[in-house]
Amino acid sequence: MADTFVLLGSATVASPTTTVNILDLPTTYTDFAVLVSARQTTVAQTDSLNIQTQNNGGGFNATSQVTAIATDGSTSSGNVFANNGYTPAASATSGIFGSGWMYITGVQNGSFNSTVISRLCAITQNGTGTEFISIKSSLYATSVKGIRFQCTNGFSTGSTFYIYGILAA
Amino acid sequence: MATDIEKLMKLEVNCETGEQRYVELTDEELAQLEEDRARYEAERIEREAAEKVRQAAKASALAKLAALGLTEEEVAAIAGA
Repeated sequence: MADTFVLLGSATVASPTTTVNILDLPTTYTDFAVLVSARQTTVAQTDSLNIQTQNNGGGFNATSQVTAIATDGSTSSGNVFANNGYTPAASATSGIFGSGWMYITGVQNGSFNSTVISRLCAITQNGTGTEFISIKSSLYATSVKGIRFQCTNGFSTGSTFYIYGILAA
Repeated sequence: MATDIEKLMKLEVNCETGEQRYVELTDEELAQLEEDRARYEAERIEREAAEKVRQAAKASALAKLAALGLTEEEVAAIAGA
């Protein structure tokens, strides 16, 4: 699988930020895989990690997201971020990051919405404190040009994001 | 909601060039952020309230099992407590 799983880009947060945009993704891949290692900046509160895709028009706020479907059966629609999991609070043990992955299928289909399946967790430390694990699936733009990650309380320094392109082989 | 972020910036990565840069959020993005914060805070409160109800129900059930004469080990065996 020499060219079927290729690192397209990565981001490492050097100073706290609420938003990380991965832009100018190539159009030659059928799927994207995302690996995330993140924690957030606010003490004693586990925050959501949300993603939104950029459509061919360049906007994140158009119709890039249609419907988000949670594993509990609840749905949300419209131009909103989908909650794709949780990140540990700043009160978690130093150096502990929540880890997870997202798989985005059909990113260049053009006709059908791509689908995001994700699993992200906010394990505080060694089973103490509150733990959250979230598995979600969502529908996104028909052609994905970029990916936006959002943590409303802010990603802390050291949070990392890796985007891989996958070719149908 | 207070954070330790002095300026609301976004990190942008260009996959073609590999360039990473910090850019201030636009007014539109700030408005969206505030909206998202309010929504997720409401969801968090709802989630934590539901968890408290669940924990209270579990404690009540365990107490009732103990009142029936089950030992702590027996209660733990059937309830995973």
